[in-house]
Amino acid sequence: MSHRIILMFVMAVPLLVWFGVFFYLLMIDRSLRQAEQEEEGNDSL
Amino acid sequence: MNSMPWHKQAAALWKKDIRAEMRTRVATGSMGVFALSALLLIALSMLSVKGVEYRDALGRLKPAWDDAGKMALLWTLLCFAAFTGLAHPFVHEEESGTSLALRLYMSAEAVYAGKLLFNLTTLAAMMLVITPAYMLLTGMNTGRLILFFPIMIGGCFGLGSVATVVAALAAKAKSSGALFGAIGLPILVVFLILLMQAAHLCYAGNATPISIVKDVGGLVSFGVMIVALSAMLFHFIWDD
Amino acid sequence: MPAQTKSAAKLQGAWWKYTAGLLMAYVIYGAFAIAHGAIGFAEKGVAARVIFFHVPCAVLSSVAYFAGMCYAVRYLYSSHRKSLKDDWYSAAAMELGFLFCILCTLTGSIFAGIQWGSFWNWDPRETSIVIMLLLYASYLLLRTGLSRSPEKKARLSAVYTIVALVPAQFLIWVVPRILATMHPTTTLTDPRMTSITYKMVLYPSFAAFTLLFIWLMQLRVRSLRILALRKERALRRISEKY
Repeated sequence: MSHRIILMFVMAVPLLVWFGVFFYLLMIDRSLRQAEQEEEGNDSL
Repeated sequence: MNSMPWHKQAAALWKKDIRAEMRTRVATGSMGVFALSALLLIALSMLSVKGVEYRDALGRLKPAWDDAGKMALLWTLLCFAAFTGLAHPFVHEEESGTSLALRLYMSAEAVYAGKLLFNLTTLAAMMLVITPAYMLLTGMNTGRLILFFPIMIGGCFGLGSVATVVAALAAKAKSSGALFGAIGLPILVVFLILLMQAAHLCYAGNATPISIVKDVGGLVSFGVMIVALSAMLFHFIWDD
Repeated sequence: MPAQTKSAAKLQGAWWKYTAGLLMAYVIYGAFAIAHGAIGFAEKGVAARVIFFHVPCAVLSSVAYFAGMCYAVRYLYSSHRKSLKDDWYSAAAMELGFLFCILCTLTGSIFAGIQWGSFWNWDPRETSIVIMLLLYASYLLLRTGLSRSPEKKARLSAVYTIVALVPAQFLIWVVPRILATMHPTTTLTDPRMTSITYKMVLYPSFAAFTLLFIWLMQLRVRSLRILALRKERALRRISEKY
């Protein structure tokens, strides 16, 4: 295998890790938003 | 709040603390016993390298444990010893409930000045005993006296100032004894690096005036900056 | 607005969050595919590709301290009633500084292991990042020790942040300059020292990491706010009952 192909395989590792982290952060953001809306709803009641 | 100027209030507090210390000897006693036993341990564990010499890259013979290295260990010892005893003035006020009275009768700045003065006095007294004993046991030289004394005094000032403000912070937390060392020593690591740099200069042959001003000045300015910031911020710690 | 509460929560500021995601993916791709191996380094310069991640982390770990300190000053010296919001920002910045400090130490240590043959060399910058790590850790420790009252916690940890600014500034500015270092001091600030392929990845990398930092900080502050609101509501409910 050439140097370049090995590099591509190495690149896949951080890319996968980053996508995992990114979607995890999106999930956290959504659930926080939901919690915020609940809190605001409670305050207005 | 009474009408005395702050320096008189500070002096009164200092006198009161000294008198209390004379009676109970908690701070000096714990620091002294800690420092002496640590001194003994260091001297014993370093026996194996005491006479050892090695050849450096240029082929010169050098002692494995040189004077600068001895100075570094002395300051490590003094740091840990200081952190066993210097929390006492603040913890004592909180425990015996006298901090409320102090808050009523004195300004925060006066309390800070008094406590800092007391801690510096205790530290200086301990250093006056420990340093000669350490020099006798390990054979450390003073090097150039014109550098040695500023380094010792600047070191005492910096160590005392950091310990005082951190003690005031830690006394407000629960399990303050455990916190005191943990939040104080990271600040002091930087100070110790500056101190070791200055200690190298004290024993090196080629010290220029510029490097003396840079290293010893850096050492002293650290303490001055800590004192200035803590004097500014002390009322946030002290007033509840 | 009960109807809105039931509907699926929508992401706020989605466009810059997706930008951060894409930008970081581009940086990872670019670090391996666009930038060439660095000249004059071990293993065809492959290990030097770590600078795209190491340098932004190092910069952010000191910027985070500065941000935490600014919010601490704002908390202590705000003229009207002190708001805990500044304390949340300060704490979030310090926690993120701790995180980026760890990342910077890890990436730097991996690079040192490949390039200089040992994972730890006591280079002054290595020493100073470890002490930075200790300072952040002791700040967080102080906060856990003060968990009884939020105001006291905010006040005392703000004081600690400002006092610990002295050693932090000495670490960033003084220590690397009085001790000899293996780190380059001018390579990245002088535009002539890096090739165009490096610039094409390095500058977006700073942008991507900064966006990530802002996003993480926003998340942390929002979660701290919700925790405080819930606690307040629980206390109110108890006091209404009795």
